[in-house]
Amino acid sequence: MSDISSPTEPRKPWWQPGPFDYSSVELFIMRAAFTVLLFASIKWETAPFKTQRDPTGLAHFFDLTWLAEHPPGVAWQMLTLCGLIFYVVGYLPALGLAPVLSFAVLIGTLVTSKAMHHSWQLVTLIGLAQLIIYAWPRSERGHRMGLWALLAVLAALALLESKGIVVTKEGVKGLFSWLGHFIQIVARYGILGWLACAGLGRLHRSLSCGPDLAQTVRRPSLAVHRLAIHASTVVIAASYVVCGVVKLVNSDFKWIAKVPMLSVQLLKSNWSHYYDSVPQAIMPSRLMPPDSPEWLDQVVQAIVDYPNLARLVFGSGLLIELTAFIILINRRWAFWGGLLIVAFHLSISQVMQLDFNYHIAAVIIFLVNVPGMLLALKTRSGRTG
Amino acid sequence: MTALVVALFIIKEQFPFSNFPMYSNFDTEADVVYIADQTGQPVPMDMVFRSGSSTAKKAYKKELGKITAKDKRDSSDATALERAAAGKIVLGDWMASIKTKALAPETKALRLYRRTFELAHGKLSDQTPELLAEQSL
Repeated sequence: MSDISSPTEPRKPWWQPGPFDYSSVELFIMRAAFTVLLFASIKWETAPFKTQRDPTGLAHFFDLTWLAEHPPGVAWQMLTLCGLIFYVVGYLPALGLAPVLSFAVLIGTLVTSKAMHHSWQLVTLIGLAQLIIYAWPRSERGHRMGLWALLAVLAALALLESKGIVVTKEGVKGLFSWLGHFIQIVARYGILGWLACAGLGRLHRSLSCGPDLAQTVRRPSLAVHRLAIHASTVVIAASYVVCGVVKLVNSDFKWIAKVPMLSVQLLKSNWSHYYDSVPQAIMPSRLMPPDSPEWLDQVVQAIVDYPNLARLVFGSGLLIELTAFIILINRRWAFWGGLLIVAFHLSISQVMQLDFNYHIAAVIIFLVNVPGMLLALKTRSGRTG
Repeated sequence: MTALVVALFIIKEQFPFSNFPMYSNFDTEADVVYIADQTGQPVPMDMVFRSGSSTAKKAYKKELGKITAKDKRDSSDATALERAAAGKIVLGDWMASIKTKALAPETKALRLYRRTFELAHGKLSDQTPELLAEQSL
């Protein structure tokens, strides 16, 4: 997280990005649009999720299947909407975000504990990042208490995970095996704790610049709203970059070389989409499902026949992910980077029938930023620092 | 941003955190899992179960992984019996959230199938779907 700088300070270099100079109107529109997105992203119909066979996140510690027995009704949804009104107008936004984010995290955890899904993580993470910006204690004492609480949670998680270490060897070998696993766990949580302390420390320094701290929490200043939107942009950038990094690591850095094998994945994803709805009878003459356009058969075969061309096309998608950090440079980069990401998702949607509508919507709201589009194209920097 | 990238990479798949590993590694084979009636005719999973084919496949893979992990084997080395055992669990789970009204009235039983696609010697092909499990309504 970067410090908030006043426009009079010297401009920071591009590799030290900071919040953009959004106007109050732009920020209001972004919050209003994000409200709709956040509310719509929650799978309120929880009844089908009666089990959490593969727990994820909080489901490791809590049984959330009560949500399937008692799906949140209209009253609860109205409560979250009331909170979101506070968030949109910018009065006690942390309190306004709390109910909707509670449901987003609990329901999202329950749904993904049946089988992992990647539709809503980005939207929920953006909401949580904004909540941290609006709610993080401004006072030094509050900041320290918050950090200690976070570190205590991480230590508890590390202890719980270390209890689950299974050692098959016996004697000294078993002890060393256990020690090896334990050190891995401690290192992982240690790094997470260090990252949290560093990030939240910088955030605290930014937030404590305000003239009236209590006032800032109740009715945040323009700078704090800008920081909240900047945090959203950081979440988007990090999500795409990590997605690219994971592709490289999981494929032993052979992702580009393996691109021709994507033809099989295209077949799989299109058939998977077909089995979701089964609109037409299967035609044995085609390898692709009957609801897919006929040109897709040629695309899939072209990936096999022209592997280097396929590597170039799909490799550009990987490049977009790995270089997504460019959206943090300034408004213009955010605008063009945002359009590129939208085009990337739309092309995936066409060939693989995989829709990332919530991702596209988040990118349009925070990066393309239609109301501020002209300003983004006119200004050279568009950053506060 | 770098801190968040590292954190997401370490935390992996723990909602709401994710390292978004979709299509991060692939092979010459890929499979889909779907549910059909007693004649093998696929049923619209979104409408009948409010959950789709990709979700069913992820659940099936998880169950199969749990079964083969007992002998420290990869799920790709699973036997037909083990695949059937994982399929039975998934079909049972899916039946618990069924909307029977969305099914054709003549449907008497539901079957879970696995269909595999393959790229070999520059040619794409698919195999006859494998019946994993069947359950009466």
